[in-house]
Amino acid sequence: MQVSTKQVLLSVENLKKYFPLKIPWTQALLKRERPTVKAIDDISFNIKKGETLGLVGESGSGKTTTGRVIIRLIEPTSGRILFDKKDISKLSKENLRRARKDFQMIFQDPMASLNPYMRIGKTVSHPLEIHKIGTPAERKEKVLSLFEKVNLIPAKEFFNRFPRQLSGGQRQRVVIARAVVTNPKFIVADEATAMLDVSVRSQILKLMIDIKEDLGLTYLFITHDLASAKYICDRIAVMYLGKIVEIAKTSDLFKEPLHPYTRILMGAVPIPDPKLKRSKIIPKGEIPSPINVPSGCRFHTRCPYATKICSEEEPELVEHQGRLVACHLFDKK
Amino acid sequence: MANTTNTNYGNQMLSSRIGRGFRQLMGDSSGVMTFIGLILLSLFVLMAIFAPYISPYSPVEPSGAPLLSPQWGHIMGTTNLGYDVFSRFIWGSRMALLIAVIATSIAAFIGIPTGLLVGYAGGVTDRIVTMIMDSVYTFPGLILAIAIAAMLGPGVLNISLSIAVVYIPTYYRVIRSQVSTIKSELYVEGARSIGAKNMTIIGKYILPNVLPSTIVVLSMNIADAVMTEAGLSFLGLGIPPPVPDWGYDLAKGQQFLLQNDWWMVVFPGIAIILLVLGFSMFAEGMDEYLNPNIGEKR
Ligand SMILES: Nc1ncnc2c1ncn2[C@@H]1O[C@H](COP(=O)(O)OP(=O)(O)OP(=O)(O)O)[C@@H](O)[C@H]1O
Ligand SMILES: [Mg+2]
Repeated sequence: MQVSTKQVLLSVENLKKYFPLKIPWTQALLKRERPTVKAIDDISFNIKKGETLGLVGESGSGKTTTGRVIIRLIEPTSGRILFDKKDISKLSKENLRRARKDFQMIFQDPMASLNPYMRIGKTVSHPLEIHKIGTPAERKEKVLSLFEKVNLIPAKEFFNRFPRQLSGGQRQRVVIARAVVTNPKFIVADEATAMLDVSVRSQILKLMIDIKEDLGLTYLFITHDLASAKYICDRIAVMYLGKIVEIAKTSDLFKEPLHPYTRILMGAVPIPDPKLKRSKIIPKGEIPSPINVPSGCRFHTRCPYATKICSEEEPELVEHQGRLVACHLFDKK
Repeated sequence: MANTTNTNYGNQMLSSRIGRGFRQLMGDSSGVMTFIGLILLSLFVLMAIFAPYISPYSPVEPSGAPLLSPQWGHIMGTTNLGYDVFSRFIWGSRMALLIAVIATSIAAFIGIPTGLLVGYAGGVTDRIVTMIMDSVYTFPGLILAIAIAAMLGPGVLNISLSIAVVYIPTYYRVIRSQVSTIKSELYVEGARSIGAKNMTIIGKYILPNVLPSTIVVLSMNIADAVMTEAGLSFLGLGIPPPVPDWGYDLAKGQQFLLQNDWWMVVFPGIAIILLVLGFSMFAEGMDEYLNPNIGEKR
């Protein structure tokens, strides 16, 4: 790929995640092959140190699964995950547990990602406790200063509160504080702002950018909101039905989306000025089931430019004008 | 296999049905119900604690002529051996509460950790243990207790143990079904993502979230244990006489009911009913207080 491996923090190679479908065991005995949900179907990408890579796509395209697999909250079916040049997909349980202080995840729903029976001070200091960092007094000090950084002020008062006593935005601040308390190198932010009020959303985005600069973080920023992706990401990967169909610099992608799917997504971005409203191209029909993936290019069933080859041959993610795209329209002849 | 996903504490628990009936009767005033339950409970607990000071006579020695009807000096009459029924009424609360509490503690001590570990582990272990627990659960409680009590013989601990066996599956089922939903909550995944060990996750992230329903099961359970204990000693499988025990007194009194000596039956009976009611009302009230949305699901 185009980046020299020196600066690469995370490199994902041929990653797959198939979920076996739950079927009655009587049927399972009869069938040799169990049907699977192909949530991620062979993706490769890398993220440079200090970079924010966006991962966008429709609901069900496998974004959350990608986030979970690359920090091994769930096990990959196959593929390699190189984090800081170490293959974390091969780490033993105990080594993985120890390594977790270096990569964290911010979940979509701040209401559900905090233990309702744990005070938020404890919630944020718990990672330090688990990884035996500092004395109790030092931990408290660290948490209080972090609370101030994420604007939970007065920090001392917030320290003893329970999640139910906080607003959604405040909870997401707690989640962010917990994610960064161990000074990780890498954070997966899964739709970190999707469940928040529009007014709070930009504050949280700003906070994430500030924190990133302060601590020298690297983000995988998962979202289906292209506006926030444009705001925060250096590069964007577009995902469709378990595959990455295009990766490009944010500015390039918004200037000239290559893949038909990306173009359609762009058309669906809400434009604030009603006079400028572009004609919306909405993909025909529903996203196909990840159990029975269409043959050839998996987007051909909804693609306005589909030709015969599209239903027969799966396009590779190839370079085109310094960008990566997987579409027969850009095949090098 | 039984469906255990909803927070139903099981219809095997008689007390839960009693409590629910009261809840319907009381409508919105479940606070009143909890309060009445609490008062009943406190009365019996105080009675048990201060039995030596408030009972007028020794419960295990004759204190008057046999079979005196209720009168001044023996307000609940005397038994066929001349024991004071009121004194046995008071002292009986000790045995009832003692065995109920020990039995419930044993059941909780085994059922809760098993439910936590097995629910968290899932998989084959879960299926096997749940199958065993379900088969115990569907077995009629009193009959199971009778069988075990007959095997173990009399004695406080043996009786408690045989009652405990009946209620272990109740804890197990309630805890397991909650754990299997809670373990897929985002905050549990969050705990894993910060590198928490499984035991830490169970202890700090799952247990606190199942504890409220445990309290409800606990108090319903005590109520049922009181009834089961009375049943066992009614059948002569309980604490050997002359230790004051309501179930035994009930059985004894029944022999004299035909000759119209009603007081030997009625007063121990009232004691059992009131204590069970107290726990049931309290439990149901707590249930509504701790899980305000469960009422609608039923
Ligand atoms: N634990 C699981 N078991 C079975 N299938 C799963 C599991 N988790 C996800 N899937 C399936 O994998 C596919 C991708 O899901 P995923 O949650 O990664 O999508 P997403 O892009 O994050 O969508 P959204 O925008 O709705 O969050 C979906 O079809 C989903 O049903
Ligand atoms: Mg998602």
